[in-house]
Amino acid sequence: MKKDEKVSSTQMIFLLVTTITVTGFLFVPSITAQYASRDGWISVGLAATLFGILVALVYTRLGLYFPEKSVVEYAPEIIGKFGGRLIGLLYIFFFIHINAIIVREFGDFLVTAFLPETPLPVFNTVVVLLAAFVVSNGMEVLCRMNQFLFPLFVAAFVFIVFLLTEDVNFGNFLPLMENGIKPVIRGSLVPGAWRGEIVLILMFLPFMNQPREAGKTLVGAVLLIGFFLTLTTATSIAVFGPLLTQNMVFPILELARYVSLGRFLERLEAVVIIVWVAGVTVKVAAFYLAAVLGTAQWLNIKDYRPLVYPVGLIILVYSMALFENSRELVDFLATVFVPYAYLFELGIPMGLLAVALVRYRGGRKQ
Amino acid sequence: MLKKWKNIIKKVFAKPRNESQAIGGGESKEPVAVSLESNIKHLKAVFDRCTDVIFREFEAAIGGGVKTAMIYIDGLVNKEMLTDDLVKALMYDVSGINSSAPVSDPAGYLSRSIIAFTEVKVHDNMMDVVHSLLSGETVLFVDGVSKAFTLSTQDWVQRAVTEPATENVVRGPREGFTENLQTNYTLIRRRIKSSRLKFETMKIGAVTKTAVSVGYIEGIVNNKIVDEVKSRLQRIDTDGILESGYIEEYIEDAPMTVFPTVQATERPDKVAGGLLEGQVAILVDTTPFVLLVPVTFPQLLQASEDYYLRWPFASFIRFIRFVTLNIALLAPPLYIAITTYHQEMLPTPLLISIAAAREGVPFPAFVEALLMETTFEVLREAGVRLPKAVGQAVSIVGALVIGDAAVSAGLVSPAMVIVVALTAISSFSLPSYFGAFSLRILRFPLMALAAALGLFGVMAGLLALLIHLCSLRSFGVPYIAPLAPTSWRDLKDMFFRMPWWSMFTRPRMTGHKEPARQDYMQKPRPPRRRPGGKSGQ
Repeated sequence: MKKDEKVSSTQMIFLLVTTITVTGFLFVPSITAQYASRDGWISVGLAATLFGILVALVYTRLGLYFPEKSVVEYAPEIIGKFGGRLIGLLYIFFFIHINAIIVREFGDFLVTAFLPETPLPVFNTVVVLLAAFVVSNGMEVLCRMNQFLFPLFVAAFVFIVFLLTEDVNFGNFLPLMENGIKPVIRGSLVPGAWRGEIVLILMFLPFMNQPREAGKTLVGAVLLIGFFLTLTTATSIAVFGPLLTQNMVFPILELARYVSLGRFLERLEAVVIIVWVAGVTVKVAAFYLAAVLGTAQWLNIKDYRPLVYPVGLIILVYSMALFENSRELVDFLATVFVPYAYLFELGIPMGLLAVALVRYRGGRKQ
Repeated sequence: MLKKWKNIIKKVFAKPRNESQAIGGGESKEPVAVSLESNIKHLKAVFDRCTDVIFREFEAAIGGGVKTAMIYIDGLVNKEMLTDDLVKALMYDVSGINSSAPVSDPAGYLSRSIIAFTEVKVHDNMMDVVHSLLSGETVLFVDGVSKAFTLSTQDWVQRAVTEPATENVVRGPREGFTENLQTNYTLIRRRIKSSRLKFETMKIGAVTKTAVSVGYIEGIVNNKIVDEVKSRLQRIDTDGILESGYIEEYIEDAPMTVFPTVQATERPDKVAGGLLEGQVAILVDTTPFVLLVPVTFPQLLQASEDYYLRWPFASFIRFIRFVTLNIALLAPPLYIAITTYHQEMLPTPLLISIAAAREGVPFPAFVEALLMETTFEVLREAGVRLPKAVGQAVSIVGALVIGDAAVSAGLVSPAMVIVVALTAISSFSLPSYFGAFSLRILRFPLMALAAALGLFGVMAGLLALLIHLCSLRSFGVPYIAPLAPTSWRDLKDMFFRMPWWSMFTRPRMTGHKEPARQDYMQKPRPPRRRPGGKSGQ
């Protein structure tokens, strides 16, 4: 294990923000609007962020019992060998599965929006290969690459939102909470599950050069993610209205298409696509690294590098076999994904934390 | 396991180096003999069939006449100096004292009173004698003295200090390094008058015995980097070093990448600047190219002139340079991608004119671009290799072939010519020839990706490039350092060149040992009352 690789808190925040926002800003507005309609931005902004802070605190508390270890390594110490190793295995599966979904999202989006005649496996293969390249170079390279790209993402995002200000109609937000708070809560479940992807920290905490700052880091990341996702959702509702938003597959792409400045600055979706390709590479690499690291730790292999390509192959094939089509993917995200993700993002960590709190009440023996 | 195999392979394939072949005899630590005859015989055997080694025997006018001999290599020594200061002094007894009286300590007497040279060394074994002879010193044997005197008479034909050929400036010093190590020391020392500037010299190359010198400023430099440089240099085991390029390939961090992780420069001011920021310079005798390590990719985009021009101009030039960097790398791939896959991204009138121009072209855009880029690379290479007189002809042929005939023959479209010309000019505008080289190479795979997958391919290629750049290190320093990992204060000298009075610190990666470059609050401002001014208005 390359435990000597260290990243700073800032790098970790950037990594988590990119990882979660890049797919979130594409899928979240439409899915949230399906439940919360015009109040989608409240769902994304308030409810989901509160949930994000909750899980962030759980992860921090849990992780700091073992700042040098990942969940795959410390789960057996908390709840015993058998159960712990089972949890480790489940997490490895979770990371691979989520990664396959992301790769599929990536391919589907590019086929739908950009190169309709190119077969899906091409995109999936390219992104998995790029991610494999990152993973075999390790955590530091992943963070450095993301640190380079992050300002570009923010600039592109701000640029698009800024150019849309003249098309914004705040009347679309009214009336506020027409049907009470229930739809808002229901709508927040999906963005909440997205926010919960900071579960990656359970694997990445040992890489932080100051693990004590994990709490601040995670909360900072959650707030930043909340800002970007809320802004996206609010903009698309304000520009298109709730009905159009919930019927579009990728509202952000339509937003970019909607931009028109003078007569020369048109069809800005290319910007979205560039950001998307780069961001998804980071995201896939992050989950890929978590999966490979977990596998290596689970099997007690010192160097994870030999596992990079086998795991990559599993992710690639899985991504193609998961869904029949794009609509099925969105349906999965809106329904099954929620309980599934909450189990891994909240359920298991809470359980582990509860046991740990009882067992290590008097402080953990080192 | 792997290591074990490596060791076995090493044992089987590595031939033990025959040490005596390295320099041809004389390697034995044989002491200098008392008798002049045997010393000369020994040297004559060592320098058998070396016509440029001159043996001159004569009688010195000391102690009533002593047989002496001087040996030197023709062309490496200053003959006038030899005649005036050595031969005349010994033969004519210019000092005129006690010429007939016997001398008790001839060796000491000679070096103290007779030989009028600034640097006289006394050796007592033959190996040292051979070495100093080969490095241009003159050897003096005296009969009856079992010591050899070597006099520093080095003087050979050398190029004067001229303007460097690779990195030209409008404003800034016009001196460039030469092939002579001593001159190069001088050029740096004149800029940094500090005893903290150190040069440590070693000889590399079993046959060539090239002098390689590691220069750094003690107290600023990170000692770990100096030690690392020295240990990497000491690891080199080869027969000859003819240029710093040899050294570069032996010591670089990433030998398989297209990006240079060692910077080569001809400019003494650049080396001085690098030393002040904590870099280590590697000077190699017989080449004007000095190596600087560690180097980052952004540094390859900086010219020394950036620091001499006023900061708004320098910042503007930096901005232009980032634009040209992108054009040099991306213009042909983007042209291919857009004309092949994404025609909708162009404004309609432009699309129509490009389509009309491409109408008669028989090739797809990729082949067209490949054809033109290859032609251009060929022309450029021909321009470098050909004798200067023929160079003109090449440029005329090139201009005609690329510019006019190809278009009117319908082989390529005018738009492609514009793209290629723009690419060429852009790649010339990058300050580091060696950094621009990597872009030249990378353009071709990117073009292939663009032809295969359109903009997505270009994007994937760029990402792979970014990952690769992030994974590179140069002597422990991340290759895209001020950008990622981000160091805010170093960004002052990155996209912009902030005013000198605002750059308080040395770069974090190399100069962290003594981070303060200067005092704060040096922003110049006019005094409240104008000196010498009569009245306020």
